[in-house]
Amino acid sequence: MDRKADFFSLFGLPCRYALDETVLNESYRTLLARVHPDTVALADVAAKRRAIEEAAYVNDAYRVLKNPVRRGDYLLQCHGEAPLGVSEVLPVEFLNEQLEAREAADTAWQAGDADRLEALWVSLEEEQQQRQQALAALFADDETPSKAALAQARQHVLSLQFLARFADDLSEKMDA
Amino acid sequence: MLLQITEPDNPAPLRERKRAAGIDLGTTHSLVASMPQGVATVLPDEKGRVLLPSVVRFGEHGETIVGHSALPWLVRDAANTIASVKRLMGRGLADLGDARQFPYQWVQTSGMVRLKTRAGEKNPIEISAEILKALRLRAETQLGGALEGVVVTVPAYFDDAQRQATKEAARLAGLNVLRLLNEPTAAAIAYGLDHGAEGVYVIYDLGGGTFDVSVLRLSRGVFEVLATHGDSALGGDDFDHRVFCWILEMAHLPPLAAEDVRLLLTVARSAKETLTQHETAPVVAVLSTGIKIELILTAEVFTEITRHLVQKTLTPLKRALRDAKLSVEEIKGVVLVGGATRMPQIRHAVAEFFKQPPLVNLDPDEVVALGAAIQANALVGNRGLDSGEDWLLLDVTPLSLGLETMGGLVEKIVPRNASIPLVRAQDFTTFKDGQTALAIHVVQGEREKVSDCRSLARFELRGIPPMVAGAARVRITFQIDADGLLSVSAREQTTGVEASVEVKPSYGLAESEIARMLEESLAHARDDMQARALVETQVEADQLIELTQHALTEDGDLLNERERAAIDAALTELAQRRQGQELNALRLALAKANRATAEFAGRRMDRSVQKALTGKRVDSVVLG
Repeated sequence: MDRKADFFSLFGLPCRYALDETVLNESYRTLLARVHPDTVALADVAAKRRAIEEAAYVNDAYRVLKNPVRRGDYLLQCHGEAPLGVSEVLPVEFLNEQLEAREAADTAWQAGDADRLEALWVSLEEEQQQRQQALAALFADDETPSKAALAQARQHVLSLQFLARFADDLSEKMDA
Repeated sequence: MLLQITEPDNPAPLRERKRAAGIDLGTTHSLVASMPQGVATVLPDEKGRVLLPSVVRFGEHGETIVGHSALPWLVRDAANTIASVKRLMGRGLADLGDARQFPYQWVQTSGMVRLKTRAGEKNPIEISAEILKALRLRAETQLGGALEGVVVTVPAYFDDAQRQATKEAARLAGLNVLRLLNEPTAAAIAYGLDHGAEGVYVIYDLGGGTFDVSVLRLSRGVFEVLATHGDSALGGDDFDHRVFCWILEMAHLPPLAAEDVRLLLTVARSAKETLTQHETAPVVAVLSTGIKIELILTAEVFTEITRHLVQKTLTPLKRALRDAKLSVEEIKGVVLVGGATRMPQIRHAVAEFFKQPPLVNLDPDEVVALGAAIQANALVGNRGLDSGEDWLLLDVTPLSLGLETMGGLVEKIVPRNASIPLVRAQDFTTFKDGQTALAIHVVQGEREKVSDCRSLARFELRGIPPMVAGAARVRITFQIDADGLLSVSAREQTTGVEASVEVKPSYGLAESEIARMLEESLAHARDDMQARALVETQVEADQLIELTQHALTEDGDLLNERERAAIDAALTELAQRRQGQELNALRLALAKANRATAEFAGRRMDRSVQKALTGKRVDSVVLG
């Protein structure tokens, strides 16, 4: 197994944001079947350790590609960008929107307004969709996007990260 | 079609086979199974009995008796006859709740429990090893030689300490442990491989003392555990106890002697078992006081007095489905495991919940050992000798793992239900200037606060050269192997200073503690979220105040008076809100302060001194 290869080529996928989940899932299983510690149950300690590391590597790559935020972050890094940080600057309008949406969710939750929560969920999903489509367009082929495009992509990934946290919070509220 | 275990096309000659076995080390009884002819079969003792009672007696003449012959001594020689030792694995005295409920003499110790017996002090690992030795002997006699390796099953909900203890016991019994396998997963292997199943299956495993539920996807030879949940303090024994209480109530009995308690529990259990086939069961006993009991327990009454226990199993089911992001309609089948699932009301409840009758083709007592045998057979390399394609088992970790961070909060490094094996690294940094050591505290559990989780290990990384706060880069790595066992290491990146620990706590989570912790984590999810958000926002506020003040001293000349006044005002308000408990007010003040300082920060960046304000990555959190 080539651990120097990027995660996309590891699974035989093109280095793009849009993802063929069927290929990902199948390659994941094929790879693990080859490197899983179960294949070396009777081997020496070194072989067992290597199997754990390789299987862990495949599990990690799978986890990164499967997740829309981690995949975006990873693509940015593939094209020479810094990983997502905490001191990133997001547009004030977006932050204000987020603050409002969260407050609306708090209010709806306290009032037990399931319809309102549902409506917030629908618009949240829409925004996630839009941003993922934008990312798919920005990372559409193996070429490195322009600096401006990369900066745009970064904003989308950061926003998706924000939205994902809100989604967790919202789904907890909807379950309660 | 998957590996077939019932009708092999061409069983390989015995000499080419390696001897391997699967062991189900249970609370009430244990089993061993193997595939001597390419067919998974449970191995009976010389009298044809498959189940070995998990009871160990240390006799007067130095002899150790295991199984059926030890049973009669449970009442007569309780202190030297140990039953249900599985409940003690990886446990400390403090974990047992009321230790007096057990008829044993405890040694006062802070580590794993130890009992005083005629044969000296014994810990649960040594006692379990006696059961494993008996099973090893049985297997080696029947298979005609030493075992190459075994797979031992554990409840999916066993924590690190319980898994370590189980593995130790097997080593002590002279066994080569190829893998610890989760019981529900073992059941899925036995069932899935036998029936060529495809799709998502739920394993409902109600044992003597624990309840486990696992959701698995079976797809072309891959067993992928999607989610697991459970209640480690709910089992068949609780149903016996309900019947026992019913007897006490109906017969108006005074407080009983220990032997009468054991007697009535036995009577209660047999009544429960009778009701799996009949509508009524006689309850007859004569107590040591001469009191005679003669009652009739009907199925209807039994269902009524145990209704809440059945209901209790539905909560983990719902949670496991939610973790797997699946609905009831997407479940292809439900496999029942554990003798307690023979109860008709369990079968009804499961059928009702999943809108389909459960699958009961395999004996619920044997299915776990059979699955372990199939896995053991594959791991020693006999796989190619049997018909069928290759298959692969992908399991998950049952509980979240993390580190203690600032404010007594848990920074989760590995979420529950993450695929194993895994290696997960995260960078941390120092909090104070000149800090040369970092205390690392590893915890297991779902709650946000360290005090609500289980402490697994503490160690220190020392010898970090003095640097300014935030300059050190300490990478902490969690590794979980295929048995679900954890090791943690820490390394300072710039100097290469290292420290590591294999997490081997002397004892782990209390039986009821996991259940309680999970229960509370969900019940308190709301409070926790609030508490966490507040502490986090406070930390954020402190950092902003400190950093801005630092920046003002250094680059205050970048601002005119009006700008400076605005920042000062925002900081004052933030500092004031920081002292309160109002999350929303604090958030607002923080947002305002962030906005007030944004322009200033921009100018400082232009001055290329951004390092002072940023330089902290999303994956680096300050440890206290």
